[in-house]
Amino acid sequence: MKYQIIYDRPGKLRLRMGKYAFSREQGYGIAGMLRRFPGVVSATVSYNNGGILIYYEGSCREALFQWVENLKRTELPSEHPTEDEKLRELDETFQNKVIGTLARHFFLKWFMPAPVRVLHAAFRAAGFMKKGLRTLGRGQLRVEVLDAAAITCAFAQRSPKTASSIMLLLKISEYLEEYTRKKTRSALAGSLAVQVDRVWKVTDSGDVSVPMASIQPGDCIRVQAGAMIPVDGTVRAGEAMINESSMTGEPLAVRRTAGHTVYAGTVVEEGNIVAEVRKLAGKSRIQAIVGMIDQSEALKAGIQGRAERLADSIVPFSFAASLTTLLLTRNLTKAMSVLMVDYSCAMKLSIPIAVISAMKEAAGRRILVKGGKFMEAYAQADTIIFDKTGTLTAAEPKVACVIPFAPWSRKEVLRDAACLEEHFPHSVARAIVAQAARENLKHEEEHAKVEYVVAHGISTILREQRAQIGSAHFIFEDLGIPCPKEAQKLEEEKMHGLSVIYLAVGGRLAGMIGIEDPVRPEAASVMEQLRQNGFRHIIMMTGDNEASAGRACRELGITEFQAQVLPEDKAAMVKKMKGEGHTVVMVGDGINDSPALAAADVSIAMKDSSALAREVADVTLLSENLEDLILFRKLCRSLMKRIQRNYGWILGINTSLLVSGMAGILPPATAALLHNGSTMAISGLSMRPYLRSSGTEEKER
Amino acid sequence: MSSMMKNWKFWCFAGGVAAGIFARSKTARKACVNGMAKGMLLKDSAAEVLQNLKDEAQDIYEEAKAKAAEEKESAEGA
Repeated sequence: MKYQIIYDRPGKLRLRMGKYAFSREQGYGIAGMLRRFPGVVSATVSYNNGGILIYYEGSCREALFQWVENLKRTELPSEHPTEDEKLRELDETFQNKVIGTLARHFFLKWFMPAPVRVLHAAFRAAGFMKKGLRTLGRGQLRVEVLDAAAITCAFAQRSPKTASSIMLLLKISEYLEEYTRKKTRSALAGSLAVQVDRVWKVTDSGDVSVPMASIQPGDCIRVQAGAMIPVDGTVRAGEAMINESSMTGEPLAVRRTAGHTVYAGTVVEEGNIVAEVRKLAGKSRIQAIVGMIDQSEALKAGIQGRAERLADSIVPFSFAASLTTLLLTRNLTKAMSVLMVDYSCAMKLSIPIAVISAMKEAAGRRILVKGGKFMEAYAQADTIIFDKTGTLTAAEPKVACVIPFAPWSRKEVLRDAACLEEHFPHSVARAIVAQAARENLKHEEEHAKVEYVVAHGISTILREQRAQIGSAHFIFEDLGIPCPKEAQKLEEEKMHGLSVIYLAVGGRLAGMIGIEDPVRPEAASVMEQLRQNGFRHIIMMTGDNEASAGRACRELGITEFQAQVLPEDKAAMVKKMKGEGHTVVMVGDGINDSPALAAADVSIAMKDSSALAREVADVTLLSENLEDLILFRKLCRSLMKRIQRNYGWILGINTSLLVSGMAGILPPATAALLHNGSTMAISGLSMRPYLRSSGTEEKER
Repeated sequence: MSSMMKNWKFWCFAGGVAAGIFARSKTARKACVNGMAKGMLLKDSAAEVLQNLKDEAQDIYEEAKAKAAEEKESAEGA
């Protein structure tokens, strides 16, 4: 294809092919291919003028010219835009709309005769009248009615110039509002993702762990209990109880068997299924989540919902003030100035922007929040309950020792334990599998279907014998496996302070595995900072033994803890604290934490949590650092302060404009300009970062 | 009759009738379609010119920034 060289310096090249050289989608395709070209740092393509901007390193300049020359118009690739390209397009669309509107306004003002200007103003006013009448027809007195009334008054005063100015300002406010909402939502969507890196693909030679990116429609994948279903598909084998709350909002799991459809992002609570892939999860789910966050009343911060209701309820008072001004002064201009000022625009725009900006900043710091209401609750919380394993302790526990019981050997115990645990996302399971791998213990899929008993253990048939692995409660109390006399003595001598997992085969105890679960290095400091930041109750609850729990609490300075608890006990504690009037945060990572996570005012899951915990939790910490709990607290408190400050500014500025209008100091067009200008300024300031890069709060101006 | 011809309201009415008849004709339709097509082409040309201006302005700006950075470096080096 032919091109012009517009700019050519080492490291930067700008070429131009003219308009209609390629379509928008083809432009994305060309940019995508250039980014994959060796030596190219970045590439931007514009379909308006066929422009290609390339930043490159090294000596690929000639190769780039050759590549562009070899492009054929009939064979140009098409791709979907990247998030950066979408944001850039959003900026361009907004700029073009504003420039177009201003150009039309001033062209008409300077070059067109008066009758044409009047006709054009009347034509545009019809749109505003229609909106106002429609709102009135629904029995609502809202800002659309205010705008229509102000424009009508301007025409009644035979001042189409004033009406034009008012409509221009309203149009630009509308573009700015639309642009700001879309930009923050787009940026938020770019920060969210369904992260499933590897899946178990069902092949003729068994289940194979493959990268998610290699899965195609028609492939079959196995999803075990606790894992998230990464694709839309049809169940071909197995049955499971699936938590579909992310799709349907239904909190109870539903049973799915062969022939049923399953959806990306839902979670298998019990059982396992083989699903044939129908559709790969794309960006549409992320857009749905962002849309839900933005629109859902249930997820809005309480303060945001209250502000919006207050804003709507103030509009009739604006009308009343305007009517009173007219009756007292008999001056339509003063009454119009009052009509131009209302509180609702600024409240409805600046507060949601503040909330979404806070969520976006949290996402930028690798903290995913599902709604503004959770940020509000976290800012006010005074009680925080932690799970131990995988939350307060490192994500990578290690096998410290393995004690076999005759006739099993140490290697057999470790190998069989790894065979049972390999499909499960729990950190203890990963520790056992990792140790077996380090010792080169091969464990092919010798077991039959695995039954996972939440918070207890795993049961299966292994080489024609019943095999179970799990906690002492599961093995000795639930299953009634006899405990050898030497087991307790050995446990006290060699496994004191460790988390112990028991393996039973054929109704006998085969071995014990001691898991070393050191606390995270930053955990002690974080507990202290939580106290300094207003958390009065810090509680640890764990299914682990008393000795292991006590040791962790002494290290962390936690005085309230409970050991050997079941999932329902954790949930009961959360409800008890809530019942006493506390705002409770629950931090957990396993399937067994899900009931407590669901019961808390704010639930937080760590990055390596089970998919169910991440799905149920309101907040996910992606960086695996407990310091983020402090960062998040500061961010949430900063958000609340900003909203309160916005309230103050909105009330102060608009009240003074109202009084000035009533006193006749400000004409309607000026009042409209100052009102819209202040609304945009407050909204723009609401988009500023909340925290400095160091994590301390920005000073509010 | 002559007084009617001098009345501007008569001419507005007559103009409206003529416009109504004209608007239904094939000629009018063709004129509208061609007008819209020319308008769309004009819009694309305006977008092209605007994009060209933005691109060239960006190049000048980046070059000025790079030059200023070089001068600052050489001043600090000296």
